[in-house]
Amino acid sequence: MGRPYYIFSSGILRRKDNTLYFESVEANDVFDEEVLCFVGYPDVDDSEGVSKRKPIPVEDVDSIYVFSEITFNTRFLNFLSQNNILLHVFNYYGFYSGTFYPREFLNSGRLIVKQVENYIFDDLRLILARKFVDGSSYNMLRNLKSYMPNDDLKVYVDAIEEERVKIESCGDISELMACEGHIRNAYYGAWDLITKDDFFAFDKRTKQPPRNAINALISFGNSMLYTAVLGEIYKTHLNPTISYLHEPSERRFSLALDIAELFKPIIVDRLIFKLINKKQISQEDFEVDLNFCYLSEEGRKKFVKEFNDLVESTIKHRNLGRNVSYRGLIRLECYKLIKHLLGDQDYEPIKVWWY
Amino acid sequence: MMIFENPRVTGVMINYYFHCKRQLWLFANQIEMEHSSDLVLIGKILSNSFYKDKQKEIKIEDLIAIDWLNFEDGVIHEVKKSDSFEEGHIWQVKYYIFYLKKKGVMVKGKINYPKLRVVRDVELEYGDEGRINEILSDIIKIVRSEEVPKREDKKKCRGCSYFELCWT
Ligand code: SF4
Repeated sequence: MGRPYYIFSSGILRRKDNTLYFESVEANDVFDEEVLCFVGYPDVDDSEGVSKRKPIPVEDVDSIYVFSEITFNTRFLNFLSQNNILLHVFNYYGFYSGTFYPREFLNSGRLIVKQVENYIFDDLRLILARKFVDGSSYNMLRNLKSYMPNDDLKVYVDAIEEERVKIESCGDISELMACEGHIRNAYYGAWDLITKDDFFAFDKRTKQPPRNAINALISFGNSMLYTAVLGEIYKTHLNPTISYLHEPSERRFSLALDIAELFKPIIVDRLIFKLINKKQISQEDFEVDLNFCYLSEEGRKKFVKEFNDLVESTIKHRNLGRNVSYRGLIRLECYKLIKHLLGDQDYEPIKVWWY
Repeated sequence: MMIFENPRVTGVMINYYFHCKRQLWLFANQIEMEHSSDLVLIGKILSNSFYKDKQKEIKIEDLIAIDWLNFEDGVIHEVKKSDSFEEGHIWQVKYYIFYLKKKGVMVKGKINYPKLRVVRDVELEYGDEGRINEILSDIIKIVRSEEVPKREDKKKCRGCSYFELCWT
């Protein structure tokens, strides 16, 4: 099993035989862990002291994240494709641009038919869509409750609990979306009480572009999560374009949006609370351009490192009786969905049990 | 058309039929597990290192994959990484022999258990062909069914690549 590689330094990515090479444009920063910020980058033994190339054995690569100016050719992309490696690209401001998603290597005709069937029939679609809202709002609630006994939070908890009751009675997707919107508003309303830092004041949720620091963190975190979910879907037989809560036309891989909803509170939001409350991230890590705000390169590196650590950390899974990483939990969610679609076992979304 | 040709029944499916019907269904409906599981890897390493010298895996019409074939004495070999004998292993090899016989090739079989350091002989015995036909039609019924067979006794699941899917 490989791991994700995060590239923050500009240069060239090449394929030679069964190895990927990263060549930096600036000779000096090749081996600088801080500049490259390769998480878990393998040590390099260069006899001469300075070697410009950094080999990455292909078995060690799960996916590649590019945050810098990188040059590569079709030979390189074909190699990624052969090895089922996803490549995620972010732009200058750290906003997600897209993913090179190689040809599917796992396909099941029967499952695709079932995936479509569950979308086409409104009642079937609604069952699944409700589950996503149920799971994600449960996890939001769990987050707020884990910050109790802050009594001021109680009104928000109550508001969410009241709204959650309505999920079952939503008659169509748009009603459900509205319900989800109310829950999310109440949830975000509580954030200032958790972060207690004026610089990270919420104001309101702004997406494209994010207008303040907290929105910049959420956007960046959600993009990282989206790519992680997409990577896990890729390793299953699910087709990433057929979704239930989100419209399949909304984004290319809308199923990743559905599943990401469940994990935003568990992974992204909790990470943000931690980074702010432990003062690991602060005003210096942001830049403001005209009227939008984004994480500086330093800020992104910190975030990515922490994100990766969290996603790889493990918890004990009750049913499996094994330790499972957060990334593994995402995969298990895909499996549960497969079982639901095949008519084997009704889907129950992940609900935090360990914090 | 022969019974094993539509849908195609592979040797692995015969083995799964004996191990777990659910495993058979999932596999036959193309829900194969990603080949990153440690056991698959161990299987590969075992058959690569223990038997490097022999002629490597032979595929026949994509239905059966024989680990190696010794042309001189007409013996097909199957390598099993497991540390116990299973009925499914025997029937898998019997199926190969049966299959090749239908194609006009007479062979005998051996199952190699490198972990146990044991080799087992397999032959098509009286009545086996009828039994294989029964197994094949039963497999086809299971595989074509809309319903996924339910999970079985968890004891069987140790080491199965579907463990996470079945038990999460
Ligand atoms: S995990 Fe168990 S129930 Fe599932 S396919 Fe394997 S043996 Fe069968």
